Amino acid sequence: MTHKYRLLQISISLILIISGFILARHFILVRAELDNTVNIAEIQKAQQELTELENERDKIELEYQIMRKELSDLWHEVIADDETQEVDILNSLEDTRKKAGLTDVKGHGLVLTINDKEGYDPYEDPIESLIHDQNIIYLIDLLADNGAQAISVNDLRVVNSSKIFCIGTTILCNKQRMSPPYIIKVIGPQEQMKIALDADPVYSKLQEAPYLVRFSYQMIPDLIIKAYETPGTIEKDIEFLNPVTESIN
Amino acid sequence: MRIKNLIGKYGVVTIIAIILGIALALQIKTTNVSAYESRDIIELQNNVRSYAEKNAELNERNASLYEEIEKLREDQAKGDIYYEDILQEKEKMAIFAGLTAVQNSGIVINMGMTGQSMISDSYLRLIVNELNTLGAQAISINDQRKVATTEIRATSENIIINGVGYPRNEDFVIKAIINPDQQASAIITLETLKKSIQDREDADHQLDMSIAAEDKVIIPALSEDSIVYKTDLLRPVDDD
Repeated sequence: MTHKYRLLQISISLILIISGFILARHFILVRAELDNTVNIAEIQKAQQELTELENERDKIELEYQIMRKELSDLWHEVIADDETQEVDILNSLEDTRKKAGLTDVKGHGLVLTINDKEGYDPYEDPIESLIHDQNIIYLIDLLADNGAQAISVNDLRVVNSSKIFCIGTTILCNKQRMSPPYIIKVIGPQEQMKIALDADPVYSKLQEAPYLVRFSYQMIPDLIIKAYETPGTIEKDIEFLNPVTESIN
Repeated sequence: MRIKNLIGKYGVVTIIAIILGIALALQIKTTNVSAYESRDIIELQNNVRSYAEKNAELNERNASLYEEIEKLREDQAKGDIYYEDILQEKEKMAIFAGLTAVQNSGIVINMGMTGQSMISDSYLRLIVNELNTLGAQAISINDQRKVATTEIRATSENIIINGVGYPRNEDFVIKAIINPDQQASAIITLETLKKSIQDREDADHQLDMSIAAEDKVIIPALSEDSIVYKTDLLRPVDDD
C-alpha cells in the first residue's frame, strides 16, 4: 500500500513539474503574442502611411504631367512660327529630353518579373537564391545589348545618373528603396530581346535547383515607361561636369 | 471509505491531467499565431521613410516647374521672352544626356589581364557599377561615354561598348569624374574591390589594374546618332 502510495506521489510530482514547465512556457508565449500584437499594429500603421504616400505620389506625378504640358504649350505659344531658329532649339530640347529619359514614352516591349526563391531560408538556401543588384544590372545590360531604348525598374526610369546597389536586404535605384518582386519594363525590339532572354545561360541556371529564382516575362504592346522622376536633382547629378570648350583630339 | 479515497486520489490526477491538456492546447494555439518578424517592420518603415523623402523631392520639382511657368507667363505679358532660358536648359540636358564632352578632376583606371588571359565583361561591369555607386557623374570606357543604355557585353574575342568592339586581350581604360572631395575614399574602395576580384582568380589569370586620381579627366560626348541613342521605337504617351 505504501509502495502504491509512493508511486502515486511520484506520478503526481512528475505531472506537476511538467505542467509547471508548460504553464511557464505558455506564459512566455502569451507575452510574445502581446509583443506581436504591438508589431501588427505598427505594421498596419506603416502600411496605411505607405498607401497614403503612394496616393500622394500619384497626385504629384499627375500635377507634374499637366504642368510639363502647360510649359511646352506655352513655349510654342510665345515662339512665333516664323522664328525658325527658336522653334528648332525648342524641338532639339524636346529631343534631348527624350534621349535623357525625361519624358514618358510608349512602345512595344517586355515586362520582366524577378523574385527571390519562394520561402527563401538563409540557413538552407544558397545566397544566389536572393536577387542582388548585380542580377538587375546584368539584365539591364543584356536588354541594352539587344536594342532596349527605355528601361525602368519598379517604375523608376534608368537614366545616366541611375545607381543600382544593395543596402542590406533591399536594392536602391534612383535613391529609392525597392523590394522584390523587381519589375523591369523595357521598350525595344521585342523579338530580339525575347530571344536573348530565352538563350541567356545565367538566368537559365538561376531558375534551376538549388537557386530556384523566380523569373518570367511578358510581351506587352503599347507599354508605357514613365519619365525620370526627379529631374529637379539634375543640377546635382551634373554638378562636377564642366563642358569641354576646346576641341578634343 | 475506500471508494472515497480512490475518488480523492484519482480525482486529483484527473483534474491535473485536464489542466495539463488545456495548457497544451493553448500552447499549440499560441505557437500557431503568425508572428511578424521585426525585420518586416523595419523594412516597411524604411520604405515609408524612403517614399516620404522622394515625395518631398518631387514636390520641390513641381514647385520649380510652377515657377518656370509663371516666369514665362510674366515674360510673355511683358513681351520680353528670354530665349537664353531654353538654350541654357538645352545645354544642361545635353550634359545630363551625355551629348556634351565634360572635364574635371577624376579617377583613371587601367585594367587588363596578366599573360594571355582575356578580361571578363563582368569585371568591367563591377568597376563601372562601383564608380556609379561612388557618385561618378560621368564615366567612359575606352573613351566610350557610358549612358543608361550602354551595353558592356563580351563576345569570344571582344567586349562591345556602345556597339563598338574592343579586344579582350588588351587593356581597358575607365575614366570617371567624381566629387573631388570623395576621390581619396573612392580609390580605397576601388582598391578593395580589385583585391576581391584578384582573390577569386588563380595566380595564372590575374587581373592587372591600376587606379589613380588625375587633375584633368576628359570624358568625350556620345554622338547623337550613336546606336545607344536610338529612339525610333519610343512614342510620346499623349500621341493617341
